[in-house]
Amino acid sequence: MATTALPQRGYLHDDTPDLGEWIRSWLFTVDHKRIAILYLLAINFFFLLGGLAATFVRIELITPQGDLMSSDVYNRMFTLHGVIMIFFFLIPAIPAVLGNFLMPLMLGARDLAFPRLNLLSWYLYMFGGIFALSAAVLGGVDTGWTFYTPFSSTYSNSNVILTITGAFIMGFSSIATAVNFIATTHKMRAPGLTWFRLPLFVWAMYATSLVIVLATPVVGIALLLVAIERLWGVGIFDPALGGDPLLFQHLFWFYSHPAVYIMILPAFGVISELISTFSRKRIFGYEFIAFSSMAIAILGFLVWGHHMFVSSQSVYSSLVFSFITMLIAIPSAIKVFNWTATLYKGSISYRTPMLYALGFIGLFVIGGLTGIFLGVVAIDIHVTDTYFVVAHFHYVMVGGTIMAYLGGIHFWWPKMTGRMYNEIWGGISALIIFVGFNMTFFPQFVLGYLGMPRRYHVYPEEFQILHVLSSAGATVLAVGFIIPIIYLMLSLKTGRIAGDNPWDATGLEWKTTSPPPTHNFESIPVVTTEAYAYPPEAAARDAAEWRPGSPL
Amino acid sequence: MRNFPLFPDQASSFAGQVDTLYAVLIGLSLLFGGVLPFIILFLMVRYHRSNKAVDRMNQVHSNLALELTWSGIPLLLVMGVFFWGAFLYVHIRTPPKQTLEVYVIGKQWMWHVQHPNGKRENNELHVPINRPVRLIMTSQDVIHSFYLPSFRVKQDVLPGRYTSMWFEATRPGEYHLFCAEYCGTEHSLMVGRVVALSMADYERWLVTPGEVILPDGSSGVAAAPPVLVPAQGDPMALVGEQLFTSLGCAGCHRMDGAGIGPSLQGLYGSQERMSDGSVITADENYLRTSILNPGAQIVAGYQNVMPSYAGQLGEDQINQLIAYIKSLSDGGTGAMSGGASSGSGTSTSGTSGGATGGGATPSFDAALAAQGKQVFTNLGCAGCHRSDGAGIGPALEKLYNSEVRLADGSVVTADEAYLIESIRNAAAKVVEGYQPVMPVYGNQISDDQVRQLVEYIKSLGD
Repeated sequence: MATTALPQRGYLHDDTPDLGEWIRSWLFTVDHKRIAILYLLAINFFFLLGGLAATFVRIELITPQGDLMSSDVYNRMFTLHGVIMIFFFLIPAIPAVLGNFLMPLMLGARDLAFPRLNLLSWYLYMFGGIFALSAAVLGGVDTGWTFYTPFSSTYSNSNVILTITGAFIMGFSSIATAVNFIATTHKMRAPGLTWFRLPLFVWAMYATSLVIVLATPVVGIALLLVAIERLWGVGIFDPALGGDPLLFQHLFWFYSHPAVYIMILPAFGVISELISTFSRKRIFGYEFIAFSSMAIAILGFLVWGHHMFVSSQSVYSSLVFSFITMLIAIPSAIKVFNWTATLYKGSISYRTPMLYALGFIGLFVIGGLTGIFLGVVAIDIHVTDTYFVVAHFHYVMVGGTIMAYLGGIHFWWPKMTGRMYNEIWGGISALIIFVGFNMTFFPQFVLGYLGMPRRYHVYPEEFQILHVLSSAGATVLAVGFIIPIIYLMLSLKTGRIAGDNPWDATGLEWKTTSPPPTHNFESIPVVTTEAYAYPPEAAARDAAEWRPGSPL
Repeated sequence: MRNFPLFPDQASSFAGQVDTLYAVLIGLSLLFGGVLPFIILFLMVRYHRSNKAVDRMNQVHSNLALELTWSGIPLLLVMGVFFWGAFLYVHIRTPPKQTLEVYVIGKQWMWHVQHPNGKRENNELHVPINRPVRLIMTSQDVIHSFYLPSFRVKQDVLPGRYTSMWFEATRPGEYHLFCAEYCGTEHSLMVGRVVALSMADYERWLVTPGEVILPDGSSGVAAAPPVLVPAQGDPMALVGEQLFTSLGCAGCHRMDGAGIGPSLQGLYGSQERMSDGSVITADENYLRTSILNPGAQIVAGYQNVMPSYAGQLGEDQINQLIAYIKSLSDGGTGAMSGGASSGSGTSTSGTSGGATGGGATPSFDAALAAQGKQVFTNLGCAGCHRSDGAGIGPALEKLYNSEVRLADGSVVTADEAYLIESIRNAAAKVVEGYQPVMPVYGNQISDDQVRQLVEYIKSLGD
């Protein structure tokens, strides 16, 4: 466990001892890895902030009365939680941190196609974040993250415009990153790295990027129109001004449903990497996993109306949207089955990233299956806008995206920092998060079916038991999120030196040093094998070499 | 704290059907979500790296038959679930022919309900059991959502249009009523109860007096102190008819079809051909649009001459007008007798402005003028001859003895002869800037009535 020095040529290394120079070397960097670290810090800051807002919401909901805060404060809290978690955490989390760090490494490139655009995207993200934060500081916003009109455009007395501007700017940051990924995937693959030799993470990021580029402009327009109506009273959404309130919902969900896939598709990519590595064998059904990502990306554009089943949308359109929603279940199921099949005849280890991956599958299955409930219109009429929906999308977003994000952070931590984290604490916190998560959100399915509407500050007494249970679970969940912050920070100083490939994984990112040099590779690698090219006897040999005392 | 239920009460005819589908979905989910984790756990343990005894050679990396199986079976299952849910959904969205209609207005942050017999209530909804009830709902401000969990129904309530839903309560009792669409500060207080009663209890309740607060009808104006009104008012269709009269709608929408607007007799629920050739069903939303934005959909064969009533009517009044128009059709519930009931014209139209006439000028017969004002209101003249000059007919204030320029360029003095001629044969001398759209009253009104009308117009000043 000797803490010897890291390789001097790593991207984290600086020659100058001067502080100003050091700060400049980070803030003006065009190195995709440093930008990923900048994103990592900023995104985790927003995650903690959004989590803090959620904490207040859960504390308030322990009692049926509105006793901790006023209705207005409560409404601002859940709006802050939603806006920050969706726009400033979930959407950028995996693409901007892991994607930024890994795409060039996995593709065998020296950087992304447009390094300066990449830096610009981080500044846009921060700029948008400052707008959203200043809205919160200057009194908050109370529209919910969905900004439904005409409430947001005419009636709300809060900082709608500032928040919208923040989300609007942040959209450009997403688009810049996506354009970068698309160009890099097309043009900068290493020699021999054909499309069907790409890691599934790259496929997932590619599908995500297409969705971002096609969908984000629509929400940008929708938000801009809300601002125009709010500022100048131009009748777009408010019927009192001659507008149509449903138009906003169509525009908003045309982006925001695909946005769900912007959040979950990268997670699929991460899980594919983890499952394969910690089973020590090739992923099962590579093509099916790759194409199911593309199928989800395409179908994801055709289901926005399932958010509007009770909005007064016509019966026929509801039926069509319901039908297509059902179809999306299939590519999602294909992925889960292929991951499970990968375990068969593998040599499975319970390292922290794998625990997250297995936890992901369990939670995503519940999230996905309850999505079918919501896709059936007759059921949706009863449970939409209740805690059932809240529970469903937290199972997908937290149980899916955050589990994958944390799994990915642990998996690539040695590559990013050159050091190992504490495996025991890693395992403990993964289990705490899994238990805490289920305790928090499973009761909400029951609450929802009982009829508890979402966004309620005050609620009927009969729902209290389930709310208390949920808040108790949230406490456990919070502990689970705080532990990794501590041991990951500590690992920077005391962590064991990881070496180039601590997991004995395939993939180009493991062929370079940890942390990688600024330009990633000594010489551009030439690829001659498919992804996950574990030898046929890899699993058997791994098991044979296992001794009591080796990692589980 | 009470028991620990997993299902809400089943209090409507939908509840059992929705719950059955829900239970089947849970069963199917357990088939996957319940079994799959155990398969994963089994594989995790059996193929853990510490287990050296298992065979790990001859791995398989893809298998088309397997892929097709685990795509095909879920596909069949979700299609089955889809069609079951679709038929149930169509059932939930298709009201039966005969329903009890109740009008609901949502506003920040209360529900206001009016029953066809005029009974009003706030944040409560009383319904009889075993009788289909249809709610016709609109919002005065933002989007709300009317949610009755025990009935398994929910429908967003939008400003500027009607949405509707129906249900049939099956068990007497009190159940939650929630606003399910976030609507601002007191969203979580926009709650109430739905009370399902036996028919006898319901009918008793319907005639029980009480007091409620009216939705103020205006939007965006600073909060006025709430006004308490008796909950037990006149039937909606009757109040609607009075409004119809006082607004002067009857002047153009004559029941015999001879008016310049289409007759409203039998209109509700019928198929109407529009001037652009399209055919639409005259439902509540069509009636609403035609009152507030008449130019949007013009019935074939008519001109776009009706003034817009947007901003002049509260949601409450629009509901009453629509209830009246619906009562003119066989399909309309609680059809009122079509009698003119002119004696009920006690409400003065806000637009007649008759009080402004100079009281000291003896140039007209005050008694006749007062009778003339009544005739003016009953005939609906005020609907077009608005005192603010914004009507489709010229304002009549200060008209008498003034110089009037006609459409043919000539100038006449508006003396008694001119007034009489204009009432009897409106098309003869049309004022410049106006269309010949006023109906010809010819001999439909008596000489006495004409006399009274003229005196009334004279009373408006010269």
